[in-house]
Amino acid sequence: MSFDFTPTLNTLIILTVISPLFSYASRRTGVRLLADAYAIMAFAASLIIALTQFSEVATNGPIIRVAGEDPLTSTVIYVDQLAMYVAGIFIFIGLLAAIFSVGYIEERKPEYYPLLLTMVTGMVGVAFAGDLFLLFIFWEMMSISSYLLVAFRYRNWEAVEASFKYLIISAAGAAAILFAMSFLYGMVGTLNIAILAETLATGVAAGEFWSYVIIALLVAGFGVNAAMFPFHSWLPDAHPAAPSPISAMLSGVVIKTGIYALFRIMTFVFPATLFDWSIVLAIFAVLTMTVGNLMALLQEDIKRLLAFSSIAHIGYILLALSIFSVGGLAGGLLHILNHASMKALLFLAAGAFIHATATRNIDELAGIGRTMPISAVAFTIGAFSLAGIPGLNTFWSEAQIIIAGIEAGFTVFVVIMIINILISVAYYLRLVQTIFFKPPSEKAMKAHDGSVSMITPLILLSILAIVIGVYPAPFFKTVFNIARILIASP
Amino acid sequence: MLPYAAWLSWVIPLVGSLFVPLFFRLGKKVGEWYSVAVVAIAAVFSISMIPDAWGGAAQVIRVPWLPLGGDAWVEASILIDPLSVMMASIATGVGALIILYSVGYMAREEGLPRYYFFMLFFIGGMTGLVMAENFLQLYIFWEIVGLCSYGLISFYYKKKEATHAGIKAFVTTRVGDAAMLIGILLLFTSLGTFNYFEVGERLHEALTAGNMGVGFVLLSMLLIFGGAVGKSAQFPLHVWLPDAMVGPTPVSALIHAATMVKAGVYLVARLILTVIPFEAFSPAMLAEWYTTIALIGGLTAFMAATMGLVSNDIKRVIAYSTISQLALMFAALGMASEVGWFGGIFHILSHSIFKALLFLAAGAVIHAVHTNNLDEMGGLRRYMPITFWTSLIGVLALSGVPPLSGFWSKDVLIESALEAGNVPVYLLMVGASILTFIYSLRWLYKVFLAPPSPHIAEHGAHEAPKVMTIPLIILAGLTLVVGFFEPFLGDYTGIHIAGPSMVTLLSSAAILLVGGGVGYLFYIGGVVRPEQVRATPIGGALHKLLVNRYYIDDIYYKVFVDGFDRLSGVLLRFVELRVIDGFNYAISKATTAAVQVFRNIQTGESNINLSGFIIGIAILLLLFISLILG
Repeated sequence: MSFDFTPTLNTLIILTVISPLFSYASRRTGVRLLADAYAIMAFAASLIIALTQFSEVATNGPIIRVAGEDPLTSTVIYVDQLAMYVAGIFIFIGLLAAIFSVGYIEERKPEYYPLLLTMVTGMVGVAFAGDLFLLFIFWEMMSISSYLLVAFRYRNWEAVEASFKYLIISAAGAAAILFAMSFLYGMVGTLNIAILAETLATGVAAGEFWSYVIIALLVAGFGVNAAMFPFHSWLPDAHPAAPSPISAMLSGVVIKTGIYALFRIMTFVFPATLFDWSIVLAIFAVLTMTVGNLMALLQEDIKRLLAFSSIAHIGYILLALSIFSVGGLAGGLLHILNHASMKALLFLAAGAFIHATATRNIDELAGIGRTMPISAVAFTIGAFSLAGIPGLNTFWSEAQIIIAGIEAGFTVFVVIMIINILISVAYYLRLVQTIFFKPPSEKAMKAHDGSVSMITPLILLSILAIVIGVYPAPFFKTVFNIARILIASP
Repeated sequence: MLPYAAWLSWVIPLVGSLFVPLFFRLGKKVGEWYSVAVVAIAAVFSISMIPDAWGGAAQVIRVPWLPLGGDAWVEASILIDPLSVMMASIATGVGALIILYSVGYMAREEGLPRYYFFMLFFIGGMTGLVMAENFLQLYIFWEIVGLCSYGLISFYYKKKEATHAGIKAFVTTRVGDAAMLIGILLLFTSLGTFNYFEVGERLHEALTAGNMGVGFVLLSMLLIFGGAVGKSAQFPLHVWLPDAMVGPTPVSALIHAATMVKAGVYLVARLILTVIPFEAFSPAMLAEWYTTIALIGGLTAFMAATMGLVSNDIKRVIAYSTISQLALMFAALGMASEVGWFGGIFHILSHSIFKALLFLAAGAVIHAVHTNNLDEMGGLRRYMPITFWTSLIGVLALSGVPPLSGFWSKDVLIESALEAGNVPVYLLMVGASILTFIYSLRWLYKVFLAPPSPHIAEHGAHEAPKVMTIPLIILAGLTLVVGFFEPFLGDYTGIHIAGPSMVTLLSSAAILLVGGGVGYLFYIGGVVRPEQVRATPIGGALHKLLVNRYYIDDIYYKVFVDGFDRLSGVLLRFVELRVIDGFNYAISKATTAAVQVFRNIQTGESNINLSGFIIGIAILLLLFISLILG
């Protein structure tokens, strides 16, 4: 039986399935470069195909593939601009993580790359899925590979423990999602998102008690993955324990998969114009950002600090979703891109520091800007960007969310968000100050910038930060287009 | 026009500057010639636009840039017209020559990556500034060139006076910039656009519809002119330019003679040409604005020239001369006529070339004798013939001796004042020009012709290397021919003016006679000794006044620097330490306490994590239920 997942996902699936063969060949021949080159080539090829598919979707409208006769029970692929947009981000960050891994990962690469490819395939599958069951399958594909990747250094107890915690709480989240799906199937008799949208988003279901049970379960289930308060507690353990390129993937894009699923379902099936969830989600959003930022303030571990800051940024994006206007959604979508790229940049740069000094303690990284100038400058660009300094990319998405929030009357929440951004400036500046202005520690004195493969992703992401920062117009056009489609959908 | 020249002419040096450190890693020579190549390429792009702008054609390119929400954008816009293309060609063309010269002049300095980074960043910023078609872009580039100017004045950061001069330049120009920013934001908030043409059109509409008074136009234009006063070092913000001469000489030539200090003149010329053209906004309506410009120009021209008479620093004399010449351009622009406008930009062109030439010549001298003091020079004609002859051409052009470029452009300036019938400004211009000839001859005499100082008599001096003399020769050649470009410049800008009137020619002759005569008596001929004048009571007092620069710097230091110092001392003791610090400590303590509360939740225990999950779902459900029921 053959089924067309559209070119991007077809390519990814085929390349992922073949990848163990190359890994095997690489291990048998002892040519390590083979596995590296294959992974980079696979991501680059999918990225190019994704870009062409994006322009195709932008001009011709969504691609819909139905596997069987009956759309109610068939597997469905639904690829619109939103799906392509997030898929593009997933693959792009995947590519950079793969490039970075060439220099960073030193052991068991033949196992590493197939897992990374599987994870990205799972995420792209979630983005492309047109029915919830297919979405769930790809979801588990992504989750299982990320458990394994968190525990990649299995001789290290911290990693195994973190991975196990991640597994347990994610399983609980997945159970909630599955439970919500069963309710949905019971109410409508299908899991096809388009048909669900036609049936539920009419106003009748808005008065129904069970609709809100479903929403609560979905928000909680996807909230676990997205690290929404109070479902976030696994993240500060899991993200730092993983190898740095994987931390970049987890904090940059994996948690965005949950956000994507929320964006998709909450706009298509349960639009806030009919269903009354805006304020509740906004409350959780500000709680999430506040907890994330406050906890990040006093961290000693650089990766743990970054992980908490990811929680805070998830809060901003959730607030954007709850604002539920074209401007708000556009701001949220742009923030997905900005946070994905900047958090990846920070984790990769932190990975470069850790690779050189073998410590995650911020005080021991003092003065490393003198010995690793390129990585430190890239880190600073990422930190300044996420702190919302104008001229860098994140400023624009945060400003857009704030403006949209004020327009929609979410003034209280917006004020809390602004206070949160100010708090985050404190710890980002602390990091930059430690890295550049404190006298170098012993470990920092011996460090030096990593190999080309570790520098390249840092430079690419820094350039991206500046490009979006000084010329945001095309990116704004894209996200506004997507947001208009989301709001106008049934 | 080469493809995308309007963008690439400034994007190439801006982006190229970022890679300077990288190329210096490959070797000093690689970095230096990389920098030369980047600017040369930018120059090719700039110059390639000249045919497109020929005859006064204006072409605007606008693309969406910054979001204002929805489909409203602040646009990035580029203007290709005679003025912008001319300025861009000067910035990149003269810039390329000066970067080439730097390869020789800066050869033995430390911190070269920093030097070339700032130079390239500056050239990109300056070109972007003149190519911009909106006030926001103008302002951003305006600050970029200000930053580069600061960085380069303070290049020898180990010298205390260099860092001091850098800060002085930065702070002084910032006063003007603040006024300018207020002006720009006034226009934006009331008109909703930054674009020059749209600002002009909307102002005109509002004026004709009676929604807006002339006062608003005057106010915003005066505020914007404030930026020009600071950048172009006009009275009362002229104090930074002479001090800025502690920077490397190529910097003085490029930034403080040929390009950045012209930005103010450019801005006024741009306003008159594009935003408030004569047709829509009659000069009579904006008479106060034009008069202010003319008066500030006239006064500064004369004042700066007097200070140039007594300075003993080879570069400061030229710096005063720059202030004075810029002021002449302002005065002409203030005449509110086509002749004045044409004269202003003609003088921009000729001055950029001969003043860059003079600075580079001064640099060659400093390179040879390792001092800036005029009294320690003399007799260099014998040792440095190329530098001498090119300097002579520069000095004669500056003084307005026919047929060199300065003569032709200065004629138009004087002509404009006569045509407008503005006698006070005319007299100030003529006075300034007479003084110009005198201090130029003094400078030339003291450097090249006077009896050599003991040091030079003993050790001699050597001519500059080829990378330095070639730019000198090119610039001198240009100075010889640019004067004859007047008809071409007329064709290029689309503004044709009549030849000079008899009075103008007579004024020029008088300037040359009086200025040359005094200069000959005091210096070249040695008939009267300057010391004799200084010995008389009036001469002595005057000399003291001029050497102390009319005490303007002293007053600024007393009032602003010391005043702010005292004020901030009080604020520090009573507000900063007690109120603000206390508040900050309270915040940090409260935050730390709050964090401790949250830390207790973050145990990392799976049981607690899962209970959080269940409690979360419960709260979500409760909230939804309460919403439905309530």
